[in-house]
Amino acid sequence: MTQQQINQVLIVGGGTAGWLTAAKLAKHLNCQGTNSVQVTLVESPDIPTIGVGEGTWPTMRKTLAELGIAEADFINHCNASLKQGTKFVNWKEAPQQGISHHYYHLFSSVSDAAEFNLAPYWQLGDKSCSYAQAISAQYQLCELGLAPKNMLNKPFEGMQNYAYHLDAGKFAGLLKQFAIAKLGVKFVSANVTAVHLDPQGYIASVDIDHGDSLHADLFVDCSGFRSLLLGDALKVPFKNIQDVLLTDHAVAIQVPYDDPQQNIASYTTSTAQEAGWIWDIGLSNRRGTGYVYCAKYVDHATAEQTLRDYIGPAAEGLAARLIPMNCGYREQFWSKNCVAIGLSAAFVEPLEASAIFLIEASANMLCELFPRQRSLLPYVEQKFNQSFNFRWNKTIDFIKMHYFLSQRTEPFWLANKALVTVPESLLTVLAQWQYHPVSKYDFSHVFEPFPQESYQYVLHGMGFDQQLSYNASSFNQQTQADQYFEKTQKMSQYLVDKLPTNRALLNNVEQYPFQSV
Amino acid sequence: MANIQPITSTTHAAIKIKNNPHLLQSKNSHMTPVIIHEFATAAQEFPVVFIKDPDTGQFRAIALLGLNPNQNLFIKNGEWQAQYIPEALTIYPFVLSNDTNNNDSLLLCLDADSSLVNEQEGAALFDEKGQQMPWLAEKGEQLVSLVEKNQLTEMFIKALTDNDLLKPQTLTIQTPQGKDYSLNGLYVIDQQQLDQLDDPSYSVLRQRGFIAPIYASLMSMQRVKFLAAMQE
Repeated sequence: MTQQQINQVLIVGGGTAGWLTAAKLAKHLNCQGTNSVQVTLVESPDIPTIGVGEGTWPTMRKTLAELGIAEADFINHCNASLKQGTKFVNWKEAPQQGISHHYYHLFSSVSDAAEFNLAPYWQLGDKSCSYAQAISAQYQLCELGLAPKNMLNKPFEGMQNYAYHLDAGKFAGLLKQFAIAKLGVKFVSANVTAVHLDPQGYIASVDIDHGDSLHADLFVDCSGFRSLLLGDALKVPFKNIQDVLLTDHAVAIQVPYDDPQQNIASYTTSTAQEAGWIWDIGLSNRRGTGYVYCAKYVDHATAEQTLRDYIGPAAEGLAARLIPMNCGYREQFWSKNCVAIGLSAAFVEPLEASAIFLIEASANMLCELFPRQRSLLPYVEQKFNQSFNFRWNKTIDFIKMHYFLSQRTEPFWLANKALVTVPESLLTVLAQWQYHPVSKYDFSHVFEPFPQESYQYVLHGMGFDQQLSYNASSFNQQTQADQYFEKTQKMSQYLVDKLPTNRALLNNVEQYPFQSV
Repeated sequence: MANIQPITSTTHAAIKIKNNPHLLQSKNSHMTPVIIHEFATAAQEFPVVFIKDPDTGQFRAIALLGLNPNQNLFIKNGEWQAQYIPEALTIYPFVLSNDTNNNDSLLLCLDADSSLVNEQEGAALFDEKGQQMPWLAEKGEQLVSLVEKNQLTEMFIKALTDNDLLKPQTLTIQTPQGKDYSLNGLYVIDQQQLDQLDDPSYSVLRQRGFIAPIYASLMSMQRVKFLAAMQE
């Protein structure tokens, strides 16, 4: 009989996934306490991390606060900037006579849609302003380049909800340093050369190139696309989703600022292109840009040129990096005594910045349900797989919805709209929403990755054909709706007076910490 | 708006500074900065509390002069009413500013838009030969000394925040007429936290001379009700 208690955790692979999981586990399990679980991370000194995930969700604020990392330290170390949402340019339709269309998916709304949903009132109104502009003060803040907080706010507290843009390599570095120095994570720098299973098919140990073996009771596979443990050793199959999300490559270019004091957009820009879309993320020291595309519809050279044209003259002489993307997920994320977190578990294209968010979510569930007894493994395995199967599928549906609602007519976009590529689950909700507003009851799962309001920002931003006028009489709280719409405008004005630009805020953060009271 | 100019014998040869015993520049300010050295004295008349600088978010020590923005209860009919004058108020319209040509040095400047700055009335900055008047040199020295005292005040505030000794406080004040005022954005010494402070930390504060100003600030909170009574 193997050891009954789970006392040793080995995380294979560093990067954002490895170090974030290590830090969360060590904090949650109090690794510096007596008789506590020991967390060890083995990272290859030779394999570079992918490190293009540069956008987070607002959940990152809670993650950092819980770990005990000071917000100003994090921002300065990771060249981070503050993000209030995503601006989708030309997604609804290709620019017509030079006029482009855009819409925002923002983090704050003036009314909690689950309490009072403004969407039907906007839909039935004159639409003199866009959905985002009608229901969120962040629309103005984004348009004016303002930050969601000022120096009077406490750490991780804002006047509006926010997330971060960050340098993923530096973020992993910060987490590594913090996890080792402050949280008691043990670090081994080595390449894993072999994985050994016990007679029951559980992972027993891994060999490393120093000639040692590392034994553990629970293994976390953060080895990236290679999926050394879950894929290679435990033979959990990979389910490709390229029949749903058609993009399969990205080409990335980092663009320095001409003027170091240039303002920084407080949102991610996603600009639709002939065969995909371009991300544009402003950090404090540079922009990160990249074209996510499907190689079937554009060749690599043209794709790179498209990105260079987008950047403009600043692109001259800058190196481009081609990243093949294999979108899909493992049929199980947890098998026996091994759980995969990060790219080893799944990868969907970066459209809604779900990568880091789903790492946080996976690590949270692992921490909360951490099986200290080996006998508890099957239960946790089942719960974890069920939960993340749901979450990844919802994420895929949500991303697919952006493509499916587009009216663009290039072959790539038409292919995305072909019904054979659209999950049944997405078609079902869209059929409902064509004649009924989005409802909180459409989102009954407590771990729904994207909330009701996210769907509404995208649906109404994309001009989804929702028919409500036949049922207008049931939307009979117009006075209250009007009060909210007015509140959005008043709040915008108030915040515009209070908030600095994203750049001005970051300049101050370089010199001063946020006060904790 | 202030118009800050470095003082030179060429630009400011004919400039005089009016006498300003009633600190009229503060008549629309409900607060003024104070330094740690004057906590005990200032606390006899004003609530001595803390605010966050709106640009940097860092704490500053202030004496509260009024209970509404733009209201200074200590100037009545154009006359300063309190016994004590916070030092920062006495140096107006002079300020120190960084020399743009030399980062390490500071320049003595004045606010040329101040109503105290004129060519007819008051004390001249320079004599007929263009020599700086002795009183102006003294002002310069006073300003330099004030900068140093400010640095000590910042260290004091850092010691307070390091020990979690500041807490936000909304002042709700009832005037004798029964009118309620509420003033936000103020921070005060957290007495409960102070009482629970461990001995080594307390001892460090004592050795650095920070205990007296802490208690001065705590006791000055009693002045809030006098301010309320001063309101018409």
